[in-house]
Amino acid sequence: MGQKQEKYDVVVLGSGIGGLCTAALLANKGYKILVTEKLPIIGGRCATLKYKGFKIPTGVLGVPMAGTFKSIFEEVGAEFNVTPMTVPPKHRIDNEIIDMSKSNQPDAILSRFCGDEKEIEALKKGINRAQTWNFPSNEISLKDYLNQYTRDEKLIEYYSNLSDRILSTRAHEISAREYFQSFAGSIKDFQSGVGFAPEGSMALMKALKKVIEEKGGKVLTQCRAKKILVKEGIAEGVVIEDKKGETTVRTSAVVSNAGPKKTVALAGKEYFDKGYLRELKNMVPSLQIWVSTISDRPLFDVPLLYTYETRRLVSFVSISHVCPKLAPAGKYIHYSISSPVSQTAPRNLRNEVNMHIQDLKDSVPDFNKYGQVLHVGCYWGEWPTLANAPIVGFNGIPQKTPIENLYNVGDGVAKKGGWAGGSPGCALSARIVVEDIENRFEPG
Amino acid sequence: MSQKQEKYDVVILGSGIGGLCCAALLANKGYKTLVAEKMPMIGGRCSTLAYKGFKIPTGVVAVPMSGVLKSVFDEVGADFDVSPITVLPKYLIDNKIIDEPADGQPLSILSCFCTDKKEVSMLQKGIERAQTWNAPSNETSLLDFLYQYTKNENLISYFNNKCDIFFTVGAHEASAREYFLSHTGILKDFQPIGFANQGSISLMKALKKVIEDKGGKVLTQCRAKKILVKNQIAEGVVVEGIKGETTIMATAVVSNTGPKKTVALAGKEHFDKGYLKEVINMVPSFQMWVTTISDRPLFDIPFLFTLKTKRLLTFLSASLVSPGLAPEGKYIHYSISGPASQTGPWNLQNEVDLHIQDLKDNIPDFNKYGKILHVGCYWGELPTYSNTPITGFHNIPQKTAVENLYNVGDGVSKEDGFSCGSPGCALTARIVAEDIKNRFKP
Amino acid sequence: MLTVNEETCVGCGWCQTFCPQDALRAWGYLEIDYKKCDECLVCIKFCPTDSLSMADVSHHK
Repeated sequence: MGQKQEKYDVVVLGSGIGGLCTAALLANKGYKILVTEKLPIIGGRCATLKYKGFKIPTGVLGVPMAGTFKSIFEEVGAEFNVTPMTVPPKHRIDNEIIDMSKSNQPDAILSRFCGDEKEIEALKKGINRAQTWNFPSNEISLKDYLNQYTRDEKLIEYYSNLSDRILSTRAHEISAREYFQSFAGSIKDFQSGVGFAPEGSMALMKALKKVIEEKGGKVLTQCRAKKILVKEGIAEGVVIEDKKGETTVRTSAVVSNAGPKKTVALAGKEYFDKGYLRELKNMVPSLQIWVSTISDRPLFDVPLLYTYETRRLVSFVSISHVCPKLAPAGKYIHYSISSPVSQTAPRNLRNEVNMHIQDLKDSVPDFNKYGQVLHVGCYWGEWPTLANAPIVGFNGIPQKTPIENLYNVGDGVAKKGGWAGGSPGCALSARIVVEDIENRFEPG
Repeated sequence: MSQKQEKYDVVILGSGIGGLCCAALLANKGYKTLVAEKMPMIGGRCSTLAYKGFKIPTGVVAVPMSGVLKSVFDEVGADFDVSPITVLPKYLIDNKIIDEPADGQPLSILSCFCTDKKEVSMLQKGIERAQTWNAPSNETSLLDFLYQYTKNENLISYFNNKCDIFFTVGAHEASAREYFLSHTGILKDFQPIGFANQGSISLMKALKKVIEDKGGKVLTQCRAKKILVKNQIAEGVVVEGIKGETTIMATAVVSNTGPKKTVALAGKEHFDKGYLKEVINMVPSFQMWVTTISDRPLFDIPFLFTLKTKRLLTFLSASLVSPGLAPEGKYIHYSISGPASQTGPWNLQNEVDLHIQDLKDNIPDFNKYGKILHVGCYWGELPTYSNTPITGFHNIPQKTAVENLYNVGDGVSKEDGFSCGSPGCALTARIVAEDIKNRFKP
Repeated sequence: MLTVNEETCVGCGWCQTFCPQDALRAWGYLEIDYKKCDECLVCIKFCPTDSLSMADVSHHK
């Protein structure tokens, strides 16, 4: 069988944030790059779906206005068209909506959760200790850690919601170490402000694609990786398949944005030591449910509403306030997010969806009158919210695999001492891999 | 009861390498430092026992001539009276003696153990990959890692011996990750190595002298009774000396007693259950030291590594380097063994017998001229390592869950790489001294 | 006949947005309205988890 053969410096499998950031950074430095994406659209969990005139995110919604992710766009000269959110979020607890926009104190919200200032002081001390003395153990949950300082359930719920929103894992399951490390690391990028891409996050991915192509690289959609070629423990290419058939691509490095488990399947389990395989087996992919609700009028008055003590609902985003173009003229779209109570326990998905909707009915008064559910998206298993949720005992899997010149990027792999979730985390994994590739070989 | 009260900047519990290095570094920077040692002598596992005119090490024999440990001595101006070993080691395998090749290249060393060039080069490539591409998983044993490249018994035995000597755990139990991380990290200090001429305790005494010259105190027979903690912050210790109990207030407490003892001294209630779980999971390791004396040297070079034995790992003819360790005309030798498994169970009597049987089988002159002077076992509460790097090993950091309470020594590690041996303990002291300097002034 | 592999389908609902016939609805699990489905295969192309396929009906009862 006369297969076609091609040669690239680096082949990137998958066009999520990790993959496209890697490709853009390398293409910008003169490396000859090929990105293959099996789907007809790019972006992965940072794409935008069009449905009945509305736009639905596949994952990434708010992105940090500064930090690792943005720095890549600046470095490669990609357009970073993001509208900053200027209105502070509101909070819903005990059937009451709390507006903190008049307060300058970032912690003032805690007083609305608990009337006992002494409890709050004790809790703040514990949090401060974790941030300035030493990260807590990886073997303790955030809830157990905080319970050392307070038993106030509402205060714990405040942190549980925060943890769930950003790390898709609630306080009783998340590793206290990962929670605090992530905040000190990539998540602090969000503190400089959050913004939304006015026509959906996919525009950001398209901007990266444009850079890659301008610098001589290729981004192929409907092009599926069939095999990662390994010889004597070194990755030397990939076999890809598109409409025209199979092609063997020779390369100096292979970067996979397909998730560490898929990477192993593509290369062949026999090339990985059993310790590495055990680490992968222990990875827990996380579930989040995204519901898109449409209406003829806004269902809430500010873009972000955080909902506490609900069955499942974590936040309600009235995105049309910031990005009117996500809905047709005169229409409004809202995204709401929920997680299961536990990322490790068995669950019934239909039940999870129904509880999400019930929460919307209970927490967003205008939902009942004017809202209509447009779309329900669940992300877990092979297409998870996070390939590796930071649950207690979590161990980061490094970017480098046991196979030489084969890397993983994306939220399945982490920096040592710090989870790599969300857009800044995926971007960080790309930066780490690019740096290593640059140290190992020159373009060409 | 009117207790005496004193005040120091830093109190250090235990006078092992970690404790004394930390105290010397801080005293040298002007911190008012107190070291409390419960035993009548200092040094811990870096001490020297005088017995019938001979000197017996309590652990440390050979120390690196450069690197972290030496740098602590240089920085504080302590005397580093160490004689370098200039002779290459030998290997005993299948009753044959093999000289280590003079070029010292890994490939030439491996070639001594296996004539199949392809096999050797495969293995060497695998090892280079672990060192230059990425350290293997913490969930893989060194043996399983090596098996990916070779099944050759002799090559495996070479790594098994090396691993057991430095990490006190055989290749089948050792974490491949820790083995390679330490090799690219702290272990490179061990080239070249030397022996303290008057036994390793002389190095500890040199540090003690610096601490005292700089106004610090090193008290022996002074036992820590309690680490005082208030609001999860360490604020002092209660010690008991010959004259009774004293409460000592301090800004920081550094424990060289091992993480488990530290928890017991402060009280379990001050530590979160995650930290306690990590401490419970620590596996202390066991090594046995046999001291043999004779009227003539039992071997012609200082370092002999014994491969494929029942238990014996190495036979050190220390008198060839430091004659001061034995009376004139006499010779002293140290031999080291580890058990078949560090997770046990083991029968200590049996372990001693196997060690001595190995000496008889492998050191021809031992039968004719050797006489056993002393047998020392280190495990449990006085272990060789408080935290052995077995597969799935987790580092415990220097900082505890209690603010301003640190651990130093081989029970705690740097995030990337096990703190083994004298340079590892010195490194923990450096890390803690650095953190204390950043947190408060003398 | 369009079939969904319930072992691997996560219910992301991507297919729903690409289906020209509006024959699909994700609600935790995927529901297929066979009266509307005209087997255009677009959904198969857009399935991130490769959970959709055309089954040969003659092999099924």
